Amino acid sequence: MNEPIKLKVPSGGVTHAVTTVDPDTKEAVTEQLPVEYISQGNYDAELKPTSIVETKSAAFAEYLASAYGLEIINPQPVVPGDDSGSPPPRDFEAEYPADYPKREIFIGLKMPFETARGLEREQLVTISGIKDKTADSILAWQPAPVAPVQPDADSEENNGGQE
Amino acid sequence: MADTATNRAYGWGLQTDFVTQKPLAVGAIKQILATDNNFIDYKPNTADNEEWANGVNSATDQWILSHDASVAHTIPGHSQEIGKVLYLNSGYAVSTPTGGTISKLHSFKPTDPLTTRQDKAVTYAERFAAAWNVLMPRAVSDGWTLKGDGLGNLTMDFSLMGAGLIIPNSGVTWFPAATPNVSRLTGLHLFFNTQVGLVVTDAGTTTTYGCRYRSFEVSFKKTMLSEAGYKPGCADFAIPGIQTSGVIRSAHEFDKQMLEFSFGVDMATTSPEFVAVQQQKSLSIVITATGGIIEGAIAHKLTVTIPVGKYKTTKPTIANGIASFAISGKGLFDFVNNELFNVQLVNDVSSYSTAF
Repeated sequence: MNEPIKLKVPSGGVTHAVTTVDPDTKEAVTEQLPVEYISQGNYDAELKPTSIVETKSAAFAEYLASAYGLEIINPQPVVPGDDSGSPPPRDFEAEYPADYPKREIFIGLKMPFETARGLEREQLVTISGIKDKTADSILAWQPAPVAPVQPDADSEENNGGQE
Repeated sequence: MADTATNRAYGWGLQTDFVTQKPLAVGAIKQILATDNNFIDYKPNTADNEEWANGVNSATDQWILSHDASVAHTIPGHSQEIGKVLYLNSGYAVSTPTGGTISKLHSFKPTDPLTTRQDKAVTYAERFAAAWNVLMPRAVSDGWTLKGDGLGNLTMDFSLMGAGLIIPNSGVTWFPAATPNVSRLTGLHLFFNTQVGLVVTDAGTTTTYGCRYRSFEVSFKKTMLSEAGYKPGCADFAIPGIQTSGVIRSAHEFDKQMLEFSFGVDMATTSPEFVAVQQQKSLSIVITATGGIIEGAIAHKLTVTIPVGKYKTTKPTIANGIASFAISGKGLFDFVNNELFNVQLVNDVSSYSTAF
């Protein structure tokens, strides 16, 4: 039986941005409100400041950590729980080439590189911090060419054989 | 004495997980105020030996493989009740609005499939006078449709897809029993289409429809992994321990999540809605319904936000004798907010985790 994963709620609690439209002025009003309870499917957690949340689901623990900033305190790092098929955390920093335009925005969004490469212009400009000009430079970006490896005599024969 | 539609009654109780039926206790099941006359559609899935070398040209035997059941309902747009349907289909968070004590702000967005694909299940109950009193445990919802039109109240359609297990003669007690299993609903607050506002933002330019708004419909649908839910290795039979009674689902997960919408609005000069279709503009859409006061300045309020939506069609039509536009479209996943859509609901339910 897997040990439960323990996460600590930050001392300031957890907040989320809530935007509503004022019915009279029609203006959008955004405020940060404390989150008291959350659930995903049959997993749930009370989010009182400094309280300890326990779950046997590694995927839910990851969700609490990434979406609400809870700190995984035991075990460290997360071991697979009853959703043992969940992938390890991705290293988004390593996925993005150093010269990729505005790479820090995509890394901050935890967006996989292949997803970013598949975005169209109108999707790119909806991302905060990316304007028309940046979107164009992203779409124009190409990976730096790799220096060709000089084939030796054997490999030339092999290539020829495949044709 | 004949039984009529007035004898029908429905209820549901939230399960702790997919397989565990809600225990029957006083008030454990909450009434569903459906406006329809629908009942469970049950079907056993069978196979026979018609193609075997029977020596005759007909099947000689038939056996049961599995069971399936579902039911569809429409409920009025009560502030407290539509939240239950949203809760069954969503990731959920609850907060207290600024200045609130009994009022709560409930936030719903599609369940994160990287966390789980198994949404919450309910034990569903229905009764038709004395003859039909059944339970359908392990029922999950495959989405909802919220709509408003004319001067009427908002309504919400939803389906519950069972695991195939139907418990007849369930013994569930209903009103007028002194302490029934199914508790009646009280203190409900109804949203009306006349309380709805529609705001569409196109690249920073906001259009508040105001008097031009007529009707809306938002439909969230999930494709369900219904066949995969039957797991041979689980030995999960309709009658526990009876290996020949046919299997029921041991899980019922979702695959894709989709959002479609439609609006009816009065025509405007230069037909901006048609231009939005033609140019496939990326639009942010916010639908609100503001009801009565709960406490202080806090009102019952429903806000549906589609951060990235595109119109598929829009065409002139005549509604109530005037020129209108019927618009339809779909929501696209928004990477900025990491959501397809979100719904915020302010009411006096303390938490949907304990509401039913």
